[in-house]
Amino acid sequence: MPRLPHSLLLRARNISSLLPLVLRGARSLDSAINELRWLREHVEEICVNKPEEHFHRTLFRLCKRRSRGEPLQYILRSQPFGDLDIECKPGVLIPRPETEACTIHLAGLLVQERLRPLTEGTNQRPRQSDAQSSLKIVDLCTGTGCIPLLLHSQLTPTFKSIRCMGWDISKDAVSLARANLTRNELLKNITAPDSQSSPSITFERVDIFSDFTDQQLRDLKCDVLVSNPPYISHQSFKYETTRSVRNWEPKLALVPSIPQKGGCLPQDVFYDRLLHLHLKVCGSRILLMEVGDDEQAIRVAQLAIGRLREDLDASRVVQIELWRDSPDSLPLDNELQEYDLDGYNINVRGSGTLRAVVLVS
Amino acid sequence: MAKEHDRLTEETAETFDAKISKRIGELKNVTTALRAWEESESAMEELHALLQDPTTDDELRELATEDMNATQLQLETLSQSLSKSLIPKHPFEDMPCLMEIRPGAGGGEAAIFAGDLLRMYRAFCARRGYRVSLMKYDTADGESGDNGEAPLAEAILEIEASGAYGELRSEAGVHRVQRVPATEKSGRTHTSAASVLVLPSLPATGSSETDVSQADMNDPESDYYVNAADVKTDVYRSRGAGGQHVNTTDSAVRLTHIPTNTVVAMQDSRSQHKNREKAWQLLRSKIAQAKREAREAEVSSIRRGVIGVAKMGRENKIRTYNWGQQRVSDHRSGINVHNLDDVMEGGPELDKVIDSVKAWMGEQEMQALLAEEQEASKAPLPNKKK
Ligand SMILES: C[S@@+](CC[C@H](N)C(=O)[O-])C[C@H]1O[C@@H](n2cnc3c(N)ncnc32)[C@H](O)[C@@H]1O
Repeated sequence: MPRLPHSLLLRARNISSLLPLVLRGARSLDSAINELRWLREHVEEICVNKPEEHFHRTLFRLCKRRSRGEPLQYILRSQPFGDLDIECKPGVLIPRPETEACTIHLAGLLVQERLRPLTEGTNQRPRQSDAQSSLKIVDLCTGTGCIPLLLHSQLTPTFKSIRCMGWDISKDAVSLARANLTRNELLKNITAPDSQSSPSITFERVDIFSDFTDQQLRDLKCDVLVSNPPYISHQSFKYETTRSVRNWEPKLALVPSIPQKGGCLPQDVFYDRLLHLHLKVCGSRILLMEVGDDEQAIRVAQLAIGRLREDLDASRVVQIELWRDSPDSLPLDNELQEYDLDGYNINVRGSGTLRAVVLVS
Repeated sequence: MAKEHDRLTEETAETFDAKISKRIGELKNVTTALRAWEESESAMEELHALLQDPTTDDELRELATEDMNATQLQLETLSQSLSKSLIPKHPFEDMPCLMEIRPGAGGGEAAIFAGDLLRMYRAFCARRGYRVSLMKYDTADGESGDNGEAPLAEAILEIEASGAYGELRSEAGVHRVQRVPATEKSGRTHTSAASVLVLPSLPATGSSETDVSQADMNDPESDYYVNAADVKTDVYRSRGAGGQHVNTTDSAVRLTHIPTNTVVAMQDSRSQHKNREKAWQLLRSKIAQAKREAREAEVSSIRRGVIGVAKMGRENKIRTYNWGQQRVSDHRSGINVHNLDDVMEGGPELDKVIDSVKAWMGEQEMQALLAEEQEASKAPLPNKKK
């Protein structure tokens, strides 16, 4: 981690004596100024009716924590995600803006029913009469639960019934995801089911590599399968993650530590499993997998093509798409809008780094 | 005009159209004012006739004279309200508004004064019971004030009450301050300035309080329409891999409207989603205002001759706040008030200033209308096509 230039620290000092502390964590002056304001607002909120001095002491303490690289989201204990407010705690990965963008884009396409392959020879997508009425979504490696919670809140106005299920191996993650469900129901971001009907969002502790029980196999049946699994290699973890990520966020959430099974790189093992579940177990129509960078996106797409060739089921038309960081934005001139991989034509949406591999059937 | 009113009422019965019904509302004001004025006029004539009549007895004559005085007074107020109702309503009059405040020339002192204006308008709105939120608060580098905050670079207030635009549009322009800055040791008076921009506000979620419907925003003919394809969005992108590798808090969103090169940036919320929404709201407001101003620039030269010089454009000095004399002067209406503190606290003295400017703006409009009317009657009749 390069040291901050002295001149920058001095400029920060000139603005506020607390700013250099925040700057050490935030790494840029613009972010530091914003973060200090959010910290101040947070402390104002928790220190109402307390003496002035208490306010200053608390604020100083929080700035000090930030200067050691602790993520602001752990200090403030939350991160906005779409129109939701997601609680964050050490031990569980902080939701990322790239995940937010993918999730919102997916919700938009589901609402417009635009995620169906074109019917052969026509320019139309088949409409399923019941598609607008019910939907089941499964999120594997759910962490804070941010993805299914946001999908549920965005899709509720369109679909009559939506069932969401999130699985994670970590006990902390599962209990935080449940807490986030309650929190957003209380905030009226998510409609709570009435007492008679069964809950429409559930979270369970499951290792997705384990042998599933019959109940779990039934639970996995869904329309849409999503996942933002750990995808960072050991090497990249050491050299390419920021200090704040490396020192403060759980490695379990970032680096796959599954004994390698032939055929793919160690950082890609989750994708191999997800493809298997999508094609053989879940019966899902859509699979959305977040990835780390362009190279991984291409590798995962090739993995998918290999899988599709293996169990060629002629009745099944599967399209593969790649989504970039901002899937809604217009592509820049130098961004490919189409890939030809092993004879497979793949469409690319949006602008930025390749961020997700999507299978639609 | 009364006829047009009747015709429109009829048309409405068949095809309801928001625009027609709005026009009816406007015409109704005029018709009501006109009818009241006509009634008073004829009452006046009757009284005159009564007084002229030699057979009228003394007692009746006395009563009629009294009546006549009262009616005369009434007639004056009625003619005022009639001319007021004739002034065309500003198209954004009934809308909520955004108020953008920026320091102008004068360095740190200007930033402090911009902060003073921000407080003044917040207090004004609080007293009026308008709901206000601080949509944007950008700071600049430099020595921070006693509150530990950096100096103000730009603030935007969102005033959610409908009609706030009409109430506050008189405030747009350059506000000048003359005082000894707190930081000035020699006791020399400085002059600095802050500028205020008032924009119609178009809340993203169609609240019932406003007139602008979703349909208006989607209608390419409407002032409130912005084509999404014309807008470039920039969000923060990490230089490295992004995703799980970083946990940045940068949620800034910048929108550029390419045809007009209008740029808005929003970074106040931790939520990128909210910043994006607010940025769109601001962009729509700016573009609506720009379209409106472009249309105003096209109006006839006669009109411009009347309003032109005294125009309340954003570059014009409209008001001076003089601390030494505890005086606030508005350069358009010419009003001077001497209770500076009350003005700065957004008190009733500020109302006085604002009302004087509104009256002045009304007069300007009226004169422009008259000038146009005169010009039109001078001009030869247009050739009718056969
Ligand atoms: C990158 S995080 C994603 C969290 C969340 N979906 C998000 O986008 O913010 C990956 C998550 O996978 C979980 N995880 C790791 N190994 C797992 C496994 N074998 N089975 C299920 N979950 C696992 C971790 O606990 C972590 O919460």
